[in-house]
Amino acid sequence: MAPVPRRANVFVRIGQHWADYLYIAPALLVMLLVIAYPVWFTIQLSFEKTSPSLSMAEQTFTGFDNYLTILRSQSFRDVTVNTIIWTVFSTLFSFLIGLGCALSLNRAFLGRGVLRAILLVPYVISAVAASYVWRWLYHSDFGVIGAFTTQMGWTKGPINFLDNTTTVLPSLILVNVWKEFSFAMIMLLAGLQTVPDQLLRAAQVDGANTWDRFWHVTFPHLRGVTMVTVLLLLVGNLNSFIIPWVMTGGGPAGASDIWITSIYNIAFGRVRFGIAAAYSVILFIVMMLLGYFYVRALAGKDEGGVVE
Amino acid sequence: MTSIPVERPVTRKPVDWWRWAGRLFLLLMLLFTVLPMLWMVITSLKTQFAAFQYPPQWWPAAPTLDNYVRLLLPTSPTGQEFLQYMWNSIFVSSCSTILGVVVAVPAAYAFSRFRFPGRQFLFFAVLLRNMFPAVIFLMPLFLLMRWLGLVNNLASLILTYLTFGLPLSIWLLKGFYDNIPIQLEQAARIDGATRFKAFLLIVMPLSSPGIIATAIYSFILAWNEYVFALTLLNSKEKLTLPIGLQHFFTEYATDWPGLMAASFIMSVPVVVMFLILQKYFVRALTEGAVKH
Repeated sequence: MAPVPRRANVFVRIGQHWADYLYIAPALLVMLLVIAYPVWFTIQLSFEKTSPSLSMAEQTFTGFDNYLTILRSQSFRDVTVNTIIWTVFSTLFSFLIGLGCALSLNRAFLGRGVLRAILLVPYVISAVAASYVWRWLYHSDFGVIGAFTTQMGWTKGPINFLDNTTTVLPSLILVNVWKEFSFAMIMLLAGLQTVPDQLLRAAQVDGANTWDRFWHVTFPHLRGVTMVTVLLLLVGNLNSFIIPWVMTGGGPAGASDIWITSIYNIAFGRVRFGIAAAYSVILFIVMMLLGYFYVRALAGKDEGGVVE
Repeated sequence: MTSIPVERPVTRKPVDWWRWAGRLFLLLMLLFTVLPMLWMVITSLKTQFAAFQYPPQWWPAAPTLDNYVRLLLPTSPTGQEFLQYMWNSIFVSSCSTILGVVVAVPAAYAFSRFRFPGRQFLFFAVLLRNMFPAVIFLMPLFLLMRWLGLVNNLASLILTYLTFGLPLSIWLLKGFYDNIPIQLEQAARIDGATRFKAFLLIVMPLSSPGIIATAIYSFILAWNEYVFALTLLNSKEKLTLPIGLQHFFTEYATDWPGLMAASFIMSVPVVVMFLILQKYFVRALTEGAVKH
């Protein structure tokens, strides 16, 4: 008998707040249609064998077959290694370069605002345009990078960046870092504003050098921002599709194939939705783990007021 | 009167190596950022012939605006196509942005101000959406659109762009509402305004910068979107700009100067919007991650 009042309480509270739901109802409706339904449907698809014609009638339930097929395949392991290299190095370099820029920009000098704006441009332009620009820079015959190194006498001739299984992934990571390091920069720059000036000056008076001030005063203050920035970079990089897809399509010989490009290929190249869906669910689980840390990093920062 | 020369102690400030290292680093990063874009512009001013020279012309021997004229002249066949792509992009981005913001504004306000059961859960559900790759939504939405008969229809893009536009808008707008003092509404309520009236007449005008920033941000995302457009569109006259660029690749020789010009034109609106609203944009990006 005891738990009953507690349960009623929720309904009473929902009843009291019924008008609140009117505000979120349209958003909720849209999200159910374009987010909740697709997630549910993907999970469902992952247990089905789908026919290439994509007709629903020809689907058969196969349990965990799709998952086993993926986990047993050699290509999954290769693609996973690529994905880890891609994600870790993109995140690491973007973060370190972003941090360097943020620290260097965190003092007043002439042209600071202009410089910050210029550094942010790669982040806002289309990844498709950026990919084409870099494809042209990397071009194996007429690419300007190869031409430059040849002219300087560093290499004997143009370099084959993208058609070479060892250089392709680092070349793509460079493009990715070019595109996103300023995101880390802007986040950390905002974080640096929260470091109290008095503390830095006090440390200086006490004889702390630049490095000590950074390590013992500035960096501890940046911990929260660092956490959020690194998580967002990790998630963004795990989800990135455009740069590898437009620049190499995952090639040559799968050397730049990462999870997302691989899923896309399975789904829309080979039209095997069931396998691709199972693949998506695996990715989804990894994301949820990262998401858990993201929510934890953000929690506690959510203090709004109440209008009754 | 002779002045006594005062011996001033020579105080040479020690060279701040960190500061110089920072300047050097910034210079390198500036070059890293600018040179690729500069090469895009230089290439776009070349003829096809000049672009395919080795060693390259570091500066075009005969700069020409032909590539731009060809793309933007409605009478040329390339221009017709390109302007159609551009119009499609503008149409899709605007519609999905407007739709997203209209739906997001009340929701974000409710998340910021009201304490209804399930609020935390729903809000984190919104947040988590940003972690899912588009591909998870791609297959079901493709099947849904096929079933609705909307494949190869721009409406399908407007709808699917809400998958990322809406959660993002709610998240950003909530941040802006959190920063508007609640006392303003409380005062209005005491003066007899209904809750909805207080929202409409007090909060809305104050949050218009936030709404504009959010709209711009979601417009830029929609403008740059590639995966959904790649999957849901297939006829030539329906393509948006990011997909349309593929048409510069032909079997034998890619029109690189044309492609660079098209990339440049495609980037201009985004960069201009960003520069004008830089302050809001930066705030929108960092909102939530940093306690102010």
